[in-house]
Amino acid sequence: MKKSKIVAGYIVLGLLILLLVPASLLLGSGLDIKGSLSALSGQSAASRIIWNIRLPRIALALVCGSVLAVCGAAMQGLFKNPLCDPHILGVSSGAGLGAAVAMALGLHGFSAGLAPVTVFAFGFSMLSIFLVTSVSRVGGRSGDLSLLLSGLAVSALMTAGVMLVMRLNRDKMENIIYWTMGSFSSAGWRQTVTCLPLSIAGSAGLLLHSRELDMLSQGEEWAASGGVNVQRTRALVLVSASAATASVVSVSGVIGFVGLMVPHVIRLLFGPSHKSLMPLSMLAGGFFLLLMDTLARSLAAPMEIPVGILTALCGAPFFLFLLRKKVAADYD
Amino acid sequence: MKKKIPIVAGALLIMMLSACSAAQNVQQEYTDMMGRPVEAVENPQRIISLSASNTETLYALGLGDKIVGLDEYSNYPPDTAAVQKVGDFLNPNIEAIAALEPDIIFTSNKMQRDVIDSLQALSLNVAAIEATVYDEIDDSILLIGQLADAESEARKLVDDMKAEERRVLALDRPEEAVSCYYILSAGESGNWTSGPGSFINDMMALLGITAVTNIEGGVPWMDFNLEALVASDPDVLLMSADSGYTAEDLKVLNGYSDLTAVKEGRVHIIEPDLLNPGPRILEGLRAMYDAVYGG
Repeated sequence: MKKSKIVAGYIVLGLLILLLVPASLLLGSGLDIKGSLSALSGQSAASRIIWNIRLPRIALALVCGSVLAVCGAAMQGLFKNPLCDPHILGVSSGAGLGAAVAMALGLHGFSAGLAPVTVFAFGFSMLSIFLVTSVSRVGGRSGDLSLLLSGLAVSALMTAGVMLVMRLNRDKMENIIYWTMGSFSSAGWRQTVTCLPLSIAGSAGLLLHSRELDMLSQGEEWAASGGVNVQRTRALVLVSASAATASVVSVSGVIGFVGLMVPHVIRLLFGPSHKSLMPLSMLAGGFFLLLMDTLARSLAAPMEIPVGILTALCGAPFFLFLLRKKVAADYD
Repeated sequence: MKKKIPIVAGALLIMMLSACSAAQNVQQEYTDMMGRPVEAVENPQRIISLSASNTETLYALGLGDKIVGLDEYSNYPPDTAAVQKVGDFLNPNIEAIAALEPDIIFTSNKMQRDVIDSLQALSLNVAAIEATVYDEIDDSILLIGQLADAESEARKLVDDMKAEERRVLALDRPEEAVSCYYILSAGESGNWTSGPGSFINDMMALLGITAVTNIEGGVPWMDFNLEALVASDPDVLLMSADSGYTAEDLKVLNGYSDLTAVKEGRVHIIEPDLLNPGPRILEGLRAMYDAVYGG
């Protein structure tokens, strides 16, 4: 892929985000555009809406979108499988079970600034990934296929666990389903700050392994002969992606589609090299999810539309359009 | 000729008498709230209810001792604890219901569509009755009374409820309108609230309370935007006892902590079972009055 095209990609995506953030800041149910502008300064109640509700929501959507997209790209590269997304290794279904358990126990309040649901979700997702990797590990290494299959099975187990918790706590059923569907409707600075450390660490871990992922995509032996420590790379990529995904899922639920589709869109437009694919996916993922969440809270204001519905409704046709263009172009 | 008159008179008398008893044997056909034809039952001995509101109505009509099966959510009055449970609201055990050989089964409305179809396929007598708006509650109680041979009890109950409603609505209210928001859930479960067309908003309207969620295009149950809630800054908050939060919890919850009502302690818990569309709705109305206008 020509370097100039990639640079153009950075510029365009960067600009899109820079335009979207202020636009999103001015749109909302609580204040109209004029009101939002005047509320940017000062201590009024309107200002509190902007600074404590709207801004953290925007920040959280950006962070979650970029993390989900880069983790999706990494998973697709690591497993050389276009159907991978950040949720495949049981991380998200584990988080769902953790959240369900916390809600069933009726835990509330914050200790050390963390909500119980977040803590349980994260804990169970780490348990889940541990289970996945232990089961598939033989002689200190895990094969691709066994990891994926193990992930499938553990995800199914976790999901069954969630359904059991719902069955035993029917009064909490709707709460659990709602959380699992993913939403930014109650976003505040607490959620954003909670997921930030691992999101940054995990994303950095992935970005630092772009070269290795490129080489791994050509085959493990080829990569090893090129000086890549395959085991270490796999482990670090998995840990980074799991930690980052777990941290965002623990605060916002399971938002599908972003991690799966955004990397493919970037690949179609800018090529498969991870050196450009991953950062561009972060920008595009953040932009896309922020755009969807802005719509989720504005389209039917003051009612909220679940953001997962919008990501699928808007994302899928766009992706199909791009795919069609590429398929037709390849044919010529 | 003289002999014929008594014979004719006797024949006429016999015809009239048989016509009367034939009329008594014809079951009155009614339509339930889903438009389905239902047969009323004379002196029913085995009743099953699959919906909490219908259960409460049946007990209030004095038919409690005839109930042989209930769904798991029917937990009022306390007598229900002793009755056999036949499963939950969405997936009751059809076999268990059939095995109880009920004279009539009272279900909820389209929410139990599948259940109704299954029971109907077994040729069981099913009546789908559930009020979806406040004004339908009286009709639903009367219909149950008509179907279960307790019509006069039903009329009395409805009259009592109307009298109680008049009493509550005649109670003092402040000059200025009070605005209110109902918290069904908050935080990670979303900000679910009642909207236009819900029982809660209807009852607020009756009491002269301004529901901040009465927006155009709103639906009875909504995931409400947190910003919009903070911007509306309602005078009073009503919170469902099942939300999992306490009034103190709200003081540290993002968005809710900015509400004047939370800061000044005007958050009142309400028992959501009182909002079932049955005889206890007037207790709910009274509870709402006490919460919003009370001291």
